[in-house]
Amino acid sequence: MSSKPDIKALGEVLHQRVLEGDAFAVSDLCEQLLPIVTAIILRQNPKLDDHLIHSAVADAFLNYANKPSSFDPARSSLVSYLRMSAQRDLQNALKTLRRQEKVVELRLDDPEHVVSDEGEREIEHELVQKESPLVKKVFELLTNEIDRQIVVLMMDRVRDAKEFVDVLGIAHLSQEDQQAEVKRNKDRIKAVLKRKLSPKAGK
Amino acid sequence: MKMDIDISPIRSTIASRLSSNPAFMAYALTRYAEMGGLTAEQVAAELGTLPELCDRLALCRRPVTGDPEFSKMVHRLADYALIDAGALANLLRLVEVVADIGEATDIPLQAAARDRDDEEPVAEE
Repeated sequence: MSSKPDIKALGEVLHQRVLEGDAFAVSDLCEQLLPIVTAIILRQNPKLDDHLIHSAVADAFLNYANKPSSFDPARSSLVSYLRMSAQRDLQNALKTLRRQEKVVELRLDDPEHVVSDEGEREIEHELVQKESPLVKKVFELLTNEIDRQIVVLMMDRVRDAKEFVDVLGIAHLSQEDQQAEVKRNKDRIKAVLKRKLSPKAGK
Repeated sequence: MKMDIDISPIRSTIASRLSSNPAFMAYALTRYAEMGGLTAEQVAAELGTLPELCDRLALCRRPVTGDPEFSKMVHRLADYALIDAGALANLLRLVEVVADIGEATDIPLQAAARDRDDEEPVAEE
């Protein structure tokens, strides 16, 4: 039996965090569910312009972030809710475009491209396994493997100092020295990134 | 079917649409850009991070200086976006000051923000 990730449960946790006003909840929501919802909408509407799709997906996430209580976890998963919301936004955008005669023949209800529940789960599974394109981009700037591991911990907001200590191999130091060393490395990596991303870099 | 979804443009759209909401970091980053006549890319470069990481930061809740958790939150946000906590704290303070004044965008506040000598230290976590 395959161990597919439980996206429904993930959505419920994210929803709860958004309701509680967690500082990182909306960012995490986008990080984790945007690729999935976007992939489903893209697959469902292969003939449509990416810009239209991006705008509809963005609207769906914004509407949810502004009024999370509109989602009822008892009725659907958060991914399904956001997907349906994006699809509705897309239909509205197309209606407007049709009125402006910018779109003539595009259909949203083409049965050939309707993504089934099983198809939705497959997309979820494929995307959860992938490394974030953003992490890849940061890795292009950092060649040191330890620095890369530290950056991933920082971007994942890992609070447990032990994980940093393990990566740095400084468990033999006193707790105070460990903290200082972790901070020194974080600051150093930030300084490296700043130097590499400075407009003067490479000139 | 192989999929490689880059959510950067959508996240950027969401970030820019949140820029009028003071509850989010998008508000602070946009106000800061306006003060200095900077683009979002230039703000990211000034903070020493990628524009995509700035967009990610923009989707977080904005801490306010009076909050006892301010320093702790600034450190967490700075790590999340891989930027210097002091620079982020200064940006937030500057935006708050200007918002409190309610005008004064002509004052060369960007220069003040960049002046490392005057930089207020952010307390350690």
